[in-house]
Amino acid sequence: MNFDHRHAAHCESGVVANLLRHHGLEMSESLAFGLASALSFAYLPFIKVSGQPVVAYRALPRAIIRGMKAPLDAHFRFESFRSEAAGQARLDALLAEGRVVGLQTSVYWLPYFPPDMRFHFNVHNLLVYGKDGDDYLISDPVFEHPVRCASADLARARFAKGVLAPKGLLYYPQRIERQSVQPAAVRQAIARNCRHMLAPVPIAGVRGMRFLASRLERLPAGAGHVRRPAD
Amino acid sequence: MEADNVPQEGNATLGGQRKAVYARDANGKLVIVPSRGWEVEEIVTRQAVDAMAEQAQAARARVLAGLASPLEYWMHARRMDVALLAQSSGFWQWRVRRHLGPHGFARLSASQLGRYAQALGVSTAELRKLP
Repeated sequence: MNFDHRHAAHCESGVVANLLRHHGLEMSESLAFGLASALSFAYLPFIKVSGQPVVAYRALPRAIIRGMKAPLDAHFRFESFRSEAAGQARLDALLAEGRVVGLQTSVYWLPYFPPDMRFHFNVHNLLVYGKDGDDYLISDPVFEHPVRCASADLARARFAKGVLAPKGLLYYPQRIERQSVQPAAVRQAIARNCRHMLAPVPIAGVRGMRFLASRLERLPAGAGHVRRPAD
Repeated sequence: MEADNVPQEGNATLGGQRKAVYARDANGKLVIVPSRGWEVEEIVTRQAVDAMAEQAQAARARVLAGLASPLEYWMHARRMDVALLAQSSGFWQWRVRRHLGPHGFARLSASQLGRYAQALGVSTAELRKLP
């Protein structure tokens, strides 16, 4: 299959744009990101991940995929699985139907990632557009070119455990009712995003940025603030 | 940012890959420019990677001193913590902590070792010793 892979800055917005373009819509990563009002900011000092307070700068996982529903009337089907075997069988069946399938995976178990980037981060998104022998043909939008991944490695990445475990999640569009983006949808998305960024709470949106900035200014100089991740 | 100003400082942690960065081209349109990365990014990523490597080295020293089991080394070598190893292997956290010690580890059955080996992506023979 010929798949038009395009490099993107982030995984989910890139996956959505590439997937919709595959279905005939003229869609860029930035338009997908904007239509879903996915820009956001939250500083959560009371939630620590490996000893560091959480700073979120985008909407929750899957928000961009779901965000295509209102502007494009695009309906996605999500499936997760209990066993690796069932997950792989379903992926193979969908590929055999000629579909391009989105997956949620861990970054750590994908061998094509640079070793220094392999953290246990479970909400990476990528597209599978074919299979060649034991290798899946993958369009990973944060990479410049399409990549390949052996089936055992991909299965491990899809069924990694931990925070936000993917449970083999795969997704694909069932129907997309509108083939173009209306200006009104863009205006609506911008207005919604403004509302998010101006939320009247001190830890979110613009106020959250100011709050984090003031916290940063108060950090001690030098290496005094470096904290080792908790064991 | 103008397309010409996109940093190309060669962030080594990207492993030779380029990442997409948005910048303005000569016509004032926003385009994707592949970037070799920033120096600051490299410093921050390296700090995180080094912290994990240090933990693995400290665990190796404890194993050699007979204070810990090879499981502790492998856990850190796979960049995991007790919580993640517990979820990946299906053991309770307090049991994992017990198995990180040499005595708890020595009492593991072959099938229990197999669960850890599977979770860590190593063979049981490798799991029994340091690499």
